[in-house]
Amino acid sequence: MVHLEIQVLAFLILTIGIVGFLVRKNPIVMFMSIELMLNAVNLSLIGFADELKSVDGQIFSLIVMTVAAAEVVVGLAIIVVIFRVKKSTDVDSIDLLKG
Amino acid sequence: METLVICLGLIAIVTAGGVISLKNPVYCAVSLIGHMITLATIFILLNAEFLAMVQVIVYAGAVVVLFLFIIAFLGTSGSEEVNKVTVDRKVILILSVILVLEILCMLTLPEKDLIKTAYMGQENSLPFGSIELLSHELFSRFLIPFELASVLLLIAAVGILALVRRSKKHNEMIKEVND
Amino acid sequence: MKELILFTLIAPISGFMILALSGNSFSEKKAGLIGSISVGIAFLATFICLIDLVSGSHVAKTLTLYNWVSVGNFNLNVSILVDTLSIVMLMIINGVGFVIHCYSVEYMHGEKAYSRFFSHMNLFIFSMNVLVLSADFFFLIVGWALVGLSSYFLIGFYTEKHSAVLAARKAFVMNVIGDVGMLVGALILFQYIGSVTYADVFSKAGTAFANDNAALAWACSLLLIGAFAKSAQFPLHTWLPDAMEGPTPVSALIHAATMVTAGVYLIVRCHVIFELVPNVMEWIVFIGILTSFMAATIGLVKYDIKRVIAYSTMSQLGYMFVAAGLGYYALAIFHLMTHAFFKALLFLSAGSVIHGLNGEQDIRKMGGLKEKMPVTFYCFMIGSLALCGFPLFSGFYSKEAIITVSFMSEQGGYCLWFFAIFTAFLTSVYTFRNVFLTFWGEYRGSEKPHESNYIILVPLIILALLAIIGGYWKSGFSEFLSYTVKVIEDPHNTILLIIGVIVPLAGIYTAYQMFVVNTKQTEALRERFRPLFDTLQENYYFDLIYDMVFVKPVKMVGYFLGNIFEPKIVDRLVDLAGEFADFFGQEVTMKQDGKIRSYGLMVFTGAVFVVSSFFLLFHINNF
Repeated sequence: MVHLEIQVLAFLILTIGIVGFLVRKNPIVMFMSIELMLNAVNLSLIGFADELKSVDGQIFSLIVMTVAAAEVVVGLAIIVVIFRVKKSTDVDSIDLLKG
Repeated sequence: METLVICLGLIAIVTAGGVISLKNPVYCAVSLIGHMITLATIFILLNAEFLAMVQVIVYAGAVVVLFLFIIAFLGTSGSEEVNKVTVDRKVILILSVILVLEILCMLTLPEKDLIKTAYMGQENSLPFGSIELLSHELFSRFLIPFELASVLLLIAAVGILALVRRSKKHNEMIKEVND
Repeated sequence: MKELILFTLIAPISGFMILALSGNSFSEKKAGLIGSISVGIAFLATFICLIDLVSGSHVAKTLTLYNWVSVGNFNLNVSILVDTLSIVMLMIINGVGFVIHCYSVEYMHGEKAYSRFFSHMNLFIFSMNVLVLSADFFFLIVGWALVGLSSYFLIGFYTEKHSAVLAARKAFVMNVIGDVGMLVGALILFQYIGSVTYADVFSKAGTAFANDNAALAWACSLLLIGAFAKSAQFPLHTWLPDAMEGPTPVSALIHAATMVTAGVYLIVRCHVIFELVPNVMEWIVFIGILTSFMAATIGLVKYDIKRVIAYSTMSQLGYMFVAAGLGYYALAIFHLMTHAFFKALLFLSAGSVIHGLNGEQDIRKMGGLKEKMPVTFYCFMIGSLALCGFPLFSGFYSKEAIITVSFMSEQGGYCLWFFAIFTAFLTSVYTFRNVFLTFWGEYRGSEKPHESNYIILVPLIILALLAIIGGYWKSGFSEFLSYTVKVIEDPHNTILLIIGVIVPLAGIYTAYQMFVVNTKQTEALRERFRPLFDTLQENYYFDLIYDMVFVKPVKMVGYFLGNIFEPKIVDRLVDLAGEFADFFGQEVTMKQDGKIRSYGLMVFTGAVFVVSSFFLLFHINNF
């Protein structure tokens, strides 16, 4: 199999996710970027699992999916709450931690 | 096989690019569904049928729908302003180019260098990638992580309820922040 | 039985702890009792061990308490060495120490810091016992430093007296010079031999240093610096006279009988390695006789009753060094013992005089005390006679033998003998000058003299008896020591013996003529030799020279460091560190803009950095 290509693909998707996270201002799209990164990692894990013929990688990616689902749910809930408070979803306007 | 993977990979990259570059969040979400399904196909090629299924059901089915639901709830403020801090963009560009160049350099390496120590898979009669094997492992060796993951989901559910619940105190806090 | 010797360490340290922790809450009676009894126990334990050793096998025994350090080939045990030499030293330390403790109970009566005095005295006894009982150079140095410390405490006992504090500091600094020398010397030995225990060092020194005699000479010289500093030998002698600022029992115990003799003990203990370097032995003799002569000349002109005795101590230590340097170790230790008896007696009698005169120390303000303090007078007289080497007194047996040896031994000769005998003459002159000025003639002081009570007098009488009979065990003593150190039979020479008897008598007669009969002539003589007199009175200007050569430059350097280097450079650097942190913090605060994407960018930057590092490392490894 062509596992090196799989790893490179995972890496590229990860980079796209990072760039998306950094560039976009809409928090929902930022969450989508995070999903992209997590997916890239899953892809990498499954690629290695196949390479090594070990099921561990698959199980790990299953757990990553669980975490991702939980994270998305909580994150979106937070966005809803923020929207309720600030009437806006622009992440740059949220800077309560400013030093 | 190789061409198939490369084609699917290209699709995955294009859809991922769509997720981060399209203006309207709804389009982004749709692009994300495409990306998820492409990845699921690649998973099948990698002998992970069960995960491909889960990918489609959980991500394309549940998560993206949740995204769309929230977009609908909050309204598509379609005119997202372009980031004005240009320096950040330059930095981001340079850093990502470095990262991509590095990974492309890896393509030139002979494949055996990537994984130096070959892992000897466990002796098991079940065929690799089958759902039986996966479930067997999941409920024996990985029972505790599996159960912990379920606890995590429970916590997430409770957490959301706590977050979204409206109370008097909550409203006062909101007023304070707005003032 | 030999395990009992542990009590010589346990009892004094317990006494020290109890008294030190009690603060000032004990009554005088209780504190004095605890202080004295602890030393008494130590003495008893030593005595039992002595009997065991005499009646038994005389064999040295190393008691290993436990293995303390074990690193590679290096082993350091906490162990004590019980042999005839250490037992003799312990007998002197704890015997004389016990008597002096009892004496102090009355002498220190009414002092504010009564418990502190006894706690420090007990600490001293403990330290000295550690020094003597140590089976290796490590604990020797520990004990060496501890006696220096307790000596410092006790010299500066009268903390409200400026001169006492200065004297304590001086003694401490001088002793530390010696300590450092000794430490380096021991380290050289360790470097070449790989062990610090006496047994190893003495047995292997000959082979280990076979190719490198210079290193051994260095090691011995550095050890000698320690011995010289502790025993107040030239050129590290200036602290001893000043140490008389301490209470008189301290002078008697530490600065006459025990601590100052540690240098002699060291040479005798380590004679195996010293003998490998003949030059060093010659130096010991030279320094010994030089100090002895110099101290005797200074003693002639001093007016402080204690200082005169202090100079005589220095002088007698010089004799011990001469004996040790010539290879007559048993003789050196024998003189050490008799000296401990009669010098402690002299100091304690002087203390009794001072006590009777309510603190007066100047012999010009004494006189005619013969009738007023008869017991003290007789004791002082016995001590003086013993010090001069008057026949049948203990000093005679040890000192006369040393003078004979200085002529008869291979390295000796006319010159050495002449200085030795001349110093003996001077010794009788200044000792009896002290006696005559104190006890003869008219009373010149203003205080009302009174005889001290029995608690002071009983110790005096005990020591007086020892000072008389202490010399009679000489041959047995040598034989006893011969189980530990090399002993050479003392040579005999009738002519030298007769001269040795006559010279002290002549000295006493001279002193009688000068200070009792013809005092006018003495005054005239003093005026005629005024410059010489002043030089002696100023201790050959040693303090002045040291002040010019060492103290002043060090003070200048200190001034430079304190007033220029410290504020301008050190302080500035510290400030800069603070300013930098402040500046950096300000800058970083600005970066903390609270925007999630900035944080994301920072994380990304870090991640790229990490990945690139791996990438580069991977490639560097591959090419």
